[in-house]
Amino acid sequence: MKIICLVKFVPDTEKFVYDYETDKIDRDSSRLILNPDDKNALAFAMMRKKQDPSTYVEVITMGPLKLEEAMKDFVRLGADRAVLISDRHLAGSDSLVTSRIISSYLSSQEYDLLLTGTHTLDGGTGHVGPQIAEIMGINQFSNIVAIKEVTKEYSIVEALQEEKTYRLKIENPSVLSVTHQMNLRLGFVRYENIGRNVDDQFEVVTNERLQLPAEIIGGKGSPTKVRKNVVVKREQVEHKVVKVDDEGIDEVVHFLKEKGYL
Amino acid sequence: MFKGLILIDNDQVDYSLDLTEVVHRLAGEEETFVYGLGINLPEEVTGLDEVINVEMSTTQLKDSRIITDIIEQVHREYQFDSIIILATEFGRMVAPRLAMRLEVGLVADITDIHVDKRGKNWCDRLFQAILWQVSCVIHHRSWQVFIRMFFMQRT
Repeated sequence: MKIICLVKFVPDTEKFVYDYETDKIDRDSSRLILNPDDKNALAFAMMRKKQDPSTYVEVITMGPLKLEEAMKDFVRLGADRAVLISDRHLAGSDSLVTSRIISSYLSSQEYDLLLTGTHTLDGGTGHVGPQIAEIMGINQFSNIVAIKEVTKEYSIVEALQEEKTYRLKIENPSVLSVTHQMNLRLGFVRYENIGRNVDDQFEVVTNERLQLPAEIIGGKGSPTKVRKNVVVKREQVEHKVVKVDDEGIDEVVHFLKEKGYL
Repeated sequence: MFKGLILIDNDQVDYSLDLTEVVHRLAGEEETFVYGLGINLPEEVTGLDEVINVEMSTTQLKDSRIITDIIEQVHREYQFDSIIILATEFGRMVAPRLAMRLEVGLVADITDIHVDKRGKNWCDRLFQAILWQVSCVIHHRSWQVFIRMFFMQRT
């Protein structure tokens, strides 16, 4: 069985650097982390490979070349192959174009299952999973909190939809978009594998290989464009701790009445 | 005539109907016609110019491919200028598929919509600590928006 994990590296929302002059997140200075939902997708694939070593795991991301080492670490962690789609012509792609680019690579691959995260920390649109599924003509489901069974033919999953949990049987190949609520751990590269040469299992894919016309990729090919970003400054909210006694309860009731909730 | 389509969510009919205001804002000064597309609507829906109700097997209601097929078929017939979908969990699976199929732009988590002096639409989307203001390049005048519930309709 071949599982392809689609992952994204995102600026750490706690530590990102914002360039007010260019009105953009400074991605070079910001620390990039593996998106939490995507981490769970990859952790599931690795767990599955551990249970069944015949499982082939490939990891794909799209981003700057500086992600090379991070991607190679996935191979050192146990993945069979890592692919970094990187090309300056792809910069500025919105979710529709990103899906088109990744699908272009996927169309040359065979797979039984595509695993990815539902949301990303840096945009959170949740578009890419469904859009890749649309291009590839396969099933997709988001907000998956548990994968109960996976075979080449189908997956049995539990997904949250508006506070209801659905148990679903989905025909494979499919795109399963999971959430961090799966609570899986990816683990660390083992000591003997740190720095191991994995060049033969790693590839950088550029548009020279994908051959996508310039007018349908990058900012040029994207139907949506960010006009301006405004960082919303969070104000420190005053808080007060009360005891669980009559006085504390009276204070809470008084507060709620004052705010109009009671 | 600006034609807008609202996908009616059976569990959120009131919020779906609030999207009528979004269609009017997108239309600007133009005359507007608001369509509602329902699937197995449990009751009569009022407040829209026309309601299109599609009956289908309940086992297919969570299949985003089939729902996308239905919206696409209806769109091919009516040629909407804009399609508005609530940003529910299911809406988040349907809207991206539909945008890809129609090859139009898609904006999620919208909190406000503006029209500039040249009549070009742009909208705000709020995510985490950043308010993104997104311009929409309109292809064939058909682009979709994806409205964050409990926010826009109360501003």
